[in-house]
Amino acid sequence: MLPETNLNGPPALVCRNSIIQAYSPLVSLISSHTADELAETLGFDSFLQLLRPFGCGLEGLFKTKTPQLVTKTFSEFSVRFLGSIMELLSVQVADSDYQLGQTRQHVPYPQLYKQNSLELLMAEYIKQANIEIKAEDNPILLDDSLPKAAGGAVDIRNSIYLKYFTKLVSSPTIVSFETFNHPVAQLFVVSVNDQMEKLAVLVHTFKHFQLPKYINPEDILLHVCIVSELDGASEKQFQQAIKAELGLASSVLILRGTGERTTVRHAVTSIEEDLQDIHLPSHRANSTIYATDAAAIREFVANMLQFQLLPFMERRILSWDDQVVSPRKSITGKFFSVSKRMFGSGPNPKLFIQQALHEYNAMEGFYHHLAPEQIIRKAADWLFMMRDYKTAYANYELLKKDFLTSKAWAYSASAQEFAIVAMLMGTSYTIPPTSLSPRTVTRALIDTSAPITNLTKVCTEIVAPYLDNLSYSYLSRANLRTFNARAIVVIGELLLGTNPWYVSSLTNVWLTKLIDQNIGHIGQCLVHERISYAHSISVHTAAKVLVSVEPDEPEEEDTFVNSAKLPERNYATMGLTRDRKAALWALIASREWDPVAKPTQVALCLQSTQAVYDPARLTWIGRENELLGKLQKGLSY
Amino acid sequence: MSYYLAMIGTQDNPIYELEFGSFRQGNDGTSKFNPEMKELNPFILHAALDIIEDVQWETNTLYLKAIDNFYGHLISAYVTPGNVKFLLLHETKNEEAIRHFFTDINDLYVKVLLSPFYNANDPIISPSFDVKVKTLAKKYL
Repeated sequence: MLPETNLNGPPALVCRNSIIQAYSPLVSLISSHTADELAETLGFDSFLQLLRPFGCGLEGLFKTKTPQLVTKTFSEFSVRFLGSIMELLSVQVADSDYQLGQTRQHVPYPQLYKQNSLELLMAEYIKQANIEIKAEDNPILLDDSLPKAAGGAVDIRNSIYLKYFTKLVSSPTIVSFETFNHPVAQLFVVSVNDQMEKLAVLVHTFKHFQLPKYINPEDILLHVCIVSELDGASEKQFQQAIKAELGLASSVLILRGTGERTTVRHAVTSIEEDLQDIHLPSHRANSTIYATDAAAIREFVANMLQFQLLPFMERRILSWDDQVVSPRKSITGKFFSVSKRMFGSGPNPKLFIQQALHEYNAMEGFYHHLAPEQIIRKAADWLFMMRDYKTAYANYELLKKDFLTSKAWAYSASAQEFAIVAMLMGTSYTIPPTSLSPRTVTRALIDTSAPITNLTKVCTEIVAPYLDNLSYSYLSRANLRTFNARAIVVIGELLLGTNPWYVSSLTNVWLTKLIDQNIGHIGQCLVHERISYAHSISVHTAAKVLVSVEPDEPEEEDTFVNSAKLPERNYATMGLTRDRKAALWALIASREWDPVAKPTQVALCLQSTQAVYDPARLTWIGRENELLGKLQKGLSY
Repeated sequence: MSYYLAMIGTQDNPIYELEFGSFRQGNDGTSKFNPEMKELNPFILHAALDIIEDVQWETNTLYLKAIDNFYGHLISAYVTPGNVKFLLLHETKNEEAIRHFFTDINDLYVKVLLSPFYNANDPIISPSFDVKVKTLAKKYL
């Protein structure tokens, strides 16, 4: 029996999209006061608020070049807009969780997110979701910043897990061992009425800000955006002046502020921002904008991406590849690094300072931005952002050993995590059977039967040992349980996107481990539900073919039926599905939700078990002293 | 040590269930499942049917050994030629003893089947069967 509807979670495709979006190039934004005022007249708090929704899902023709000089074209691309890195860093330092010397034996890295905030946010979201579920039977998507499934609106229950997933991957925390949140570009937004000096001050403050030592200020592209309300000649002059005085490229954005209004999607925001939205509804970001302005902003962002950001990233990646990555890969490079590791480089005082820049700083837990390891990591992350997963994977693999020998645990765990993620993102994947009609399942089967042979091998040789290693490093060596949670959830989700029959056991083992690692009550419930989902979509290929065959015509009435024979059951799919396991985990999830605290969630969970726990067929199922009976009783109050 | 035994008919219907404990190491033969586990036991065994149906075709033997696990508990299975499944939920690995236990239960079950008053898939309500199973449990586990 195949489950008919995909009630238990979003299809893997949606999660894949949110990973692509969460790890897209980051543009940090500093706007002048006048520019912010202009945004306020359009109904936004700041220019950042105005620009943010336009970062994801940009349409156009985006060409990227890999280090092997192969050109790839994408019809859509995303960038993320965040406030200036100075603000982000100061907020992070002020955070009480991040205190130097709090844990002596560990390097104090900031956590990815605050567990309590996430728990609170999810509780609020579930509350809203339940109101929606009660209000109408036809479910709609609550949060329109979440990517929509290919088939249309995702139902509310899916959106709860999707919300959790999106919040896990899209955290703005800046750490040394991952460069996804190190800005790729710095955008200065000024109004055309601003003085040249004002811009110069903004640029000057940015340039003289003491960035952490693991971020190279030269790897940040500087760009100026001039906003104006009218088409005029003054912009051209301003642009020329900027070019002459500051040597920066600039582009003009014209916001007329007239015409029809259209709605914009909510941008993907951080947990804290979402909480603020909920508790202070008056500060909620505006969701409508003039259509002409929206088109102008879209064009501006697409152009910036196409002509500034992507070429800049390509050039940098190419030069890193030439200078650092390729020599490291060559035989002499390997020999050199081994000899250095074994014999050291001798006491040469002249080289001492230079050497310090190239080695792991174990006290503070980072590599200097000039260290080859940090550069390769950055190259790998940028390749990941540009969706060249194969090369990115090769780079992560290259780093793994170096990090282990330097005992840079967080670095090594993160490199392994993204090695798996890049590998899984790069492999062609199947769409889970439940999101398709039976007829299309057969078609999907033909398309994707090839990679299955590799899949089990990849799982046992790469994914399983790496996961073991990275989870231990994150938890016991670096004390980063939030990163561990993200790694397991993301990798599990990507694995389910391949062929669940072969990988669901691995996924479930890790998700079960995650449940015991203090991820908060709601997190636990959601992971329970996810395990149930993983079981429900794990269907053997043979069963898929059998199910996709049209049912036979009903037999004629006068055919002889032997009543002494035992009735036939699911012989076609016997042993090829995991429906009963799915039902068991849904049952445990509903116990976790608790019928008194979250009756709607429990009812939904039990609803998904109805096909398996059919009281007409299984007479023992409703016993009062057993779990299902207890839950049903709890719900009836 | 606690055990939960279930004999499952061909329609996934339980025909006999028994929860018991070990008599070894000073135990008194009562099960010590915690309440959370106790209310879940039948469901865990029911879920293990998925795995049995998968692996039962891969071997010639009737005893399938430990086929599944759930939070540190193991599930051993035995499939009779008539497709009735014996499932045992237990805490430690003990292959040989469980094999003997299952084989002897199968003998008892065949005797039940020989009774003209018993239909396949009916629950076994005979008190003497119950006593004999308990004796076997005491003997082997």
